[in-house]
Amino acid sequence: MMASSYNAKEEDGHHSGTSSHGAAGAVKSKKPDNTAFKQQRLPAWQPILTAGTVLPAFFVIGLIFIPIGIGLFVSSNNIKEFQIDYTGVDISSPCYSCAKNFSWNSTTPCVCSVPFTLNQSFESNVFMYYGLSNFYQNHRRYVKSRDDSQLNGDRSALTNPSKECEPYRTSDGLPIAPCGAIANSLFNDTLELYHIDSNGTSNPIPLAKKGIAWWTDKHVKFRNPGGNNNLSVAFHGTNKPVNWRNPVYELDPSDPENNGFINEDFIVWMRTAALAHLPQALSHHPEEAQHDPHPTQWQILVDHHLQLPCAQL
Amino acid sequence: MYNICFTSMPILAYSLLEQHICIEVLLDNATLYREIAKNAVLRWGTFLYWTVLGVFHGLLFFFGVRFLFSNPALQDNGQVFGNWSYGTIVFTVLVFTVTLKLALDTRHWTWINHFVIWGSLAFYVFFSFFWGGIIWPFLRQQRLYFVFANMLSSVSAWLVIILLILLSLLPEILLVVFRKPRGPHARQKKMVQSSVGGHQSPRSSARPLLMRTFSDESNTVI
Repeated sequence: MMASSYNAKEEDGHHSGTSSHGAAGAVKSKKPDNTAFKQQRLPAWQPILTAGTVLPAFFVIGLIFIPIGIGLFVSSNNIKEFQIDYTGVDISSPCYSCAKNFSWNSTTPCVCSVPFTLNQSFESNVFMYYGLSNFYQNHRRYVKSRDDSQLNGDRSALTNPSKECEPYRTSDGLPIAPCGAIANSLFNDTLELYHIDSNGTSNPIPLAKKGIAWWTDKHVKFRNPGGNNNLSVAFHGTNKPVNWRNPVYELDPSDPENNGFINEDFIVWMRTAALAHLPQALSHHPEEAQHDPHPTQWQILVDHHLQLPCAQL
Repeated sequence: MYNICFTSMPILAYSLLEQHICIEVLLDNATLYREIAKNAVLRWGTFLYWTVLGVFHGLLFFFGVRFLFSNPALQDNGQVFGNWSYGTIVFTVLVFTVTLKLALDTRHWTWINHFVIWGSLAFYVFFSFFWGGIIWPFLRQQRLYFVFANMLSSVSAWLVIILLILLSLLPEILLVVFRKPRGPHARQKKMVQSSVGGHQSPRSSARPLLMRTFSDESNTVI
């Protein structure tokens, strides 16, 4: 069968060759080249699974991964979490008065304190997070409403923000820095942690506010226009976002490395969360939070600023 | 981008080079062609299987990562992931699953198959690093800056990626292991005969890995 097909092809080639012999020289034969690729004879490997290969491989992989799994499970069980809700919806909650009577453009802060008890000791590197529930930071129009080149310190984008920031692009005729709905809804409650010892005195716990944002965010993606000094001059000609109390260069006047666009709380907020319940990093305490295993009293002092006007969102 | 750069070459190489049954067996048993007569491979059953499998994969990727993100503080230093990291994890699992599924289906591994399959995966990783590695000068939005590299620095993300890839390929693996060969499968009989006889066709270019079979209905791959 193979031999006869070869012959037929050869005759074809011959035939066309002789017919156009006088015209333009030899015509290319239609026979495919006798290379390994075109004749589908490439050297290949076929996997054939038999019990002799599959079962030993299965058991070896199992033996490798089961101890890893046990180790991960044990270490994850050692992580301790504690959540406090300070929304103040309930009348008996300490923050009820702040939640009810406060409006977002009040100048006097409303302070409420929430006591809580820890029954077990939290080992070192305690992280504190704040969380908002039912806050959909992944709404498409909200996520698009920012200008990354303005946040990168680009001068032209500072005075002419992107169209995506509408309607938070200009206010009173001046461009807004930082523009957009994400920046406008910045979380600005301040929380302080106190430890109440047996005498009843509250000792404030120092919380490190650095190191909560991604390193690349703080040092590459977010830059102040014109350097970190003289920010009020650099931001001249722009306005603060509509729902902010202070302009962006007063986010942390005591530390020039944490002021303006490179403020870590601001950077953390601008990294929009994936789901409706969003915990964001607030601070971290590098030492042990509690030395003895007995239950101890703690207290959080909340400086209520955040009140989002729900009708606009 | 996905269709052109990440997943087009493997399927092209598969369609050109795949030989489920090698040439010599086919030439000797022409009746094997009856199995694909009347467009049998594109029947409703096969189509529905692939569609349901696609839906299952999609749901598994998205909700698997959503379950992981119930606490988004996934990095070792307590920093939080955002929604771009979420999407990047889903997309990584997707690209790897699709390519590895094709690798599972490939029975005839030539050097071209190796090159395009592993090359596509390597290209995806390289491209993700490249795309997220610089601040693009003329773009207003820098959403994916460093997102991929940051995702890879978290152990939880690695574990979830590996777990989701294995879970999504599990139906295929189970099907291969447990499916009983139907009808007179000449290829299987040929394998048994040649293992008994020990005679290898001189024109054979495929080298089977292990010829030892335990029974007629052994779990040789169809």
